[in-house]
This record gives sequence, C-alpha cells and structure tokens, in this order.
Amino acid sequence: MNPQLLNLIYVTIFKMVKNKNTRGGSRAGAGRKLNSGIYGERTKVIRVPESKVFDIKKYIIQSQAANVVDITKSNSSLSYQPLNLFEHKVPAGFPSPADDHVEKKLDLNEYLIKQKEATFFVRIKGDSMIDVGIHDNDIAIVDKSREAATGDIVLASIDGDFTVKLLSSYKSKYRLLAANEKYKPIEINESMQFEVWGVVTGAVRKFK
Amino acid sequence: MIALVDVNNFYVSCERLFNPKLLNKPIVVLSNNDGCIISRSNEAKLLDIKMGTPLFKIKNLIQSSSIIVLSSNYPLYADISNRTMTLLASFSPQQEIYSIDESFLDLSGNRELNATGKKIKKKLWQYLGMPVCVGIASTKTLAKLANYCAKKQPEWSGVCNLSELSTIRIDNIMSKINVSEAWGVGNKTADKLKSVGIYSVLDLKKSDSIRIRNLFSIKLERTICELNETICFPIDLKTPAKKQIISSRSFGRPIQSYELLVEAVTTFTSRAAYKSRQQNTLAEYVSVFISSSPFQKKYCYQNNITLKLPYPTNDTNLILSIALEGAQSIYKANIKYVKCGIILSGLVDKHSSQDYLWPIENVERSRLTQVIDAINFKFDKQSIRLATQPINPIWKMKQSRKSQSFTTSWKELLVVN
Repeated sequence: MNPQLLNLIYVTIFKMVKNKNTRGGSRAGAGRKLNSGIYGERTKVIRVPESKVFDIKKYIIQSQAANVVDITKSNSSLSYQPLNLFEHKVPAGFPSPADDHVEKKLDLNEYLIKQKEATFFVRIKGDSMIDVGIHDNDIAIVDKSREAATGDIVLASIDGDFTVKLLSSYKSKYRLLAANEKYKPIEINESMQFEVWGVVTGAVRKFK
Repeated sequence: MIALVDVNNFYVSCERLFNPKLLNKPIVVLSNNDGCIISRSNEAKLLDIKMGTPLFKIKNLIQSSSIIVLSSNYPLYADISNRTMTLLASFSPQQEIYSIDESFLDLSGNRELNATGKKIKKKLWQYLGMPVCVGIASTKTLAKLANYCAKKQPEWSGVCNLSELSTIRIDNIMSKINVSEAWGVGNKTADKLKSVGIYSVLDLKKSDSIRIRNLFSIKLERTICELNETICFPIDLKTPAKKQIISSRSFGRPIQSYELLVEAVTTFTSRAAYKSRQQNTLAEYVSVFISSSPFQKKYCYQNNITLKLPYPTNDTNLILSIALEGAQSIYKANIKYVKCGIILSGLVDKHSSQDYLWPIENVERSRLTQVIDAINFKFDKQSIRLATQPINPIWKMKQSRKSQSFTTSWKELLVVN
C-alpha cells in the first residue's frame, strides 16, 4: 500500500480516537463503586404488591442477617420463609358471566331512612303501641321533616314529656291514641304544651 | 350574593331538641369541666348573664332565678352541626362552614333571596328544630352585619336582606350599630377606633381606608372595602388540613404527683396519636404543656416543651416515650396542676413521607397499632389501651350535668313510652 495513504489513514484514526478521548464519555473510576450498595451486589427495581412490601423488606434483612451468621458460624441454618409474591388472582380464562350483573349491596339505612338529616332513633318502652307492632325495647325511626297527618304514628311531646302514639282528631281537637286497649286516649286541650316532634316511619327489633 | 346562616344559641337549641321541658326557661351551657358559661338561652340573656362568666360568680343568681345549668355535650352538638351543614348545602353549591353553627352560602344568581332566606329558616326548623337567622348581602362582612340585624331586630323575623335596601336605609342601620359588632373588629380594635372618632359601623364604612391601614392593619382596610360592597374575603371552599393536633383538658381537680401527670399525658397522647392516624398524617414534633391555676397569679407555673421525634410517626408508644421525657423535664413537685396537654405538629401526609427501610420495629409497631385501633373500633373505645392510661381517672373532667348522647350512642337513645 502507498505509505502516504497509510499515513493519512493512521492520522485520521488517531484524530478520531483523540477526539473521542477529549469530548465526554465515561471516566474510569468515576461513579459509585460496583457492588458497594447496602446489599453488596447489583440491585434491580421490581414491582411488588403493596401489602407485601413489609414482608419483602423483612425477608431481605433477615436473609442478610442470616448471611452474617453464615460466615461467622459454619453451620448454616438459613431460615427464611418462602414468599408468595403474587397472591393476587391472575385474570385469565373466561370472564365471570355475572360480572355485568354486579349491583350494589342492600343497605337497611336506605330502606328505612328517607331524610337522613332529619331522622332520629328513639327507644320504645312499654306495650302501649303493641297492636301496631311496636314492642317494648324496639327502636323507632322518627322522621322530623314530615308533616304529620291524622292516622300517623307520631313522636309527640305533651307538657315536656315525649310519647309515641297514633295521631287522631275528634271534634276538631287532637287526640293521641295508644295501640293497646289497656290505655285510654289522651285528649289534647289548649292548656297543654303540645307538639308533634316527628313522624314514626318504622321500627326495628333484634332477636339476638 | 352571600348569605350567613347561624343557629341561635346553638348549644341550648340542641339541648332543647331532646328535652322540651327546657323550652321558655333560662338555660346556660357550661364549657369543658363545667367552668364558664358558653351558651345562653334568650331568657338567660335577659337576666344579664354574660358570655364567658365563670359559673361560681353567678351561683346566687342561678338559685334565685332557677336557671337550668347544663354541661356541654359535644357528641350531640357535633352531630346536629353536621346535619345542619348538610341541609344548608342543599341551598347553594358553594358553602363555607365557618364554625360549628355558622355557614356562608354563595347565593349568586339567586333571584329570590328573601324567599330563599325564609325557606332556609323554615327547613332548619322543620327538619332539625334549629332556630336560625339569615343575613344576606353582597359581601361576607355585610352578610355578618345583616345576620346581626336579623338576630337583634325582631322586625326582620329572622331574615335580613341588606341588598334590597337603599343606601340611605343601610347607612341608617349602620349608624346605630357599635363598631365592635363589625366582622373582624375585636374589642381592643374597637376601643382604639373610638379613640380616633370611629364609633359606629357607619363611621368605619365612611372612614379613609388608607389612613386606617396605616393606623391599624391591611385587614381592617379590607373590612372597610367589604362594608362598601367590594368583596375582599371570598367564600373559602376547602377546609385546610389540620396542621397540628391538640389534645388537652383541664382536670376535674388539681393534681400534684408525677404519676397522675403520666396518666394524663398518656391519655392525651393516645388521643392525639389516634387522631393523627385517622387523618393519615405523621407528626415530626410533640409538645407537652402543663399549667397550674392562672387564678393564683403569684404561684402560677406554666411551662411547655417541644421535642423532635426520631422520625415522622403516629405511633402512640414512640410519641409517648418522647412526650414523657418532655413531661419529666418540665414537671416540678409541689405544684397543683390544673391543666395539661399534648400538641402534635409538623404534620406530614403519610403517603408523601419518606419510607424507612431499616427501622423494622417501626413496621411491626404500626401493624400492632392498626390491630389495636381495629379492636377498639369494633368493641369499646378503650378495650385495649396503655397500662398507664386509666379508664376512670381521678382527674377526669367534671361534667356533672351532661345530657345523653341521643344521636351517637345506642345506649343513650331517648327512651319513650
């Protein structure tokens, strides 16, 4: 080969190499030393279930501790629990045929209460309302927002005392009726401080 | 347009809701520990009982006028307050809950302000038995003033809409109201204002705002702008996350021994740490404060200390160990302590805080705490507690005249024949 041409090639290559060396690139010995992290080896980013983060950290720490034991004492009793990393069900195969029919759960509040803000619970004592199915110790649900009409079961106050009775009227005066023939109707007259506090819309009872 | 709705004599009204015997009678509700009067019925106000009066000072009047005295029942008030605020929210898409019994509502675009005001009043009465007053105007400060008129001047029947009145009429109303009643003007500021010739709200409205800013503060200048119908304080929609948690009580009787102080610190720390867990925050600092009776000025001892926690945490045990160190360092023997408390501060959101890899006890402790919280939620509030936290401490708050928790405890429902 023409020595002149060869020389030119050498010079070009030398320049290229020189350029490379002077403009950026990795510098030997720079950065964190290999395997110098807390684990003493290469690390890798993994995605794990959140609920297992503690277990995994614990596992790593335990196995490290176990390694230390391993070195100092020759008998190695590595005790680590195998972990199920993927406890979640993997969706595979056919989708459930019921999936499209999942509806909200039944909620008794929704069934029993219409006006949440105006609804209060009171404990019933005695048997005066037994014929309409309200027993001793039942919890009556009272909706204060409702306008009471005759025929409603109401929570009323008479001269400062509360009572649950049926609201009725007789000769343009209010009367409170018990749902038990043992009790007499209460006639409301002007001298009484009388107020219908709310309407009883339901009652609940537990057997156990 | 802005409405300010507030419940009249809120605590008394809550008590009356479940006890009609209290109607038309003078009633007062006491602060924590049955100390001072914090709510009065109109009948009690007529007897010239002032807000904040210590109970012992009016013992004679209470007997001679047969005033009914009640301890405060916060579970009940909080529940009724929540219900009130939810009902009010139905009148406006924008609501600022200003206090336990007050709420601003944005009524912009509402063309029937008076009718809406009356509807609010009617609904709150019918649904909850809460008597309210409604003040309507173009700014919050004016709405507050309108509410004051609605409450104090019977001719409004509880709903005062300043925006439909002529300026002359409004000025006439303002000229009769003491400047201390303006929103944001405290008693001290009012005294100072009087010294520069500003006596009524009208005087303040007509005053030179720049001069007031120089003499007082920019906040007072804004009050003047608001009185002149320029909005400076818009409706604040979001409630800021709690930046600190305070748990403290005055004791039912003074305590002297360090052991009893430990009991109290444990109880308050447990409560504060629990609150912090409930709102998903971690605390960086814990402060402890103790004080003897401020009424014995000569011997009054008050002290507090703030300590940094080793790492942000809401773990009761860890916070307690630091809090007790603090308590020990500020405790002095032979002093009768009447109050102590715990403050957690530097609260950070749990999910945005740094995770620690190494302190593994941390992890297990927090699991333990989770389990304890779950058990206490399922069973009784204090089923599992620290051994130094007594169930029935001898320093327990005095609440000798408390009504039942009618709406928040199955055991305390109203019983009806």
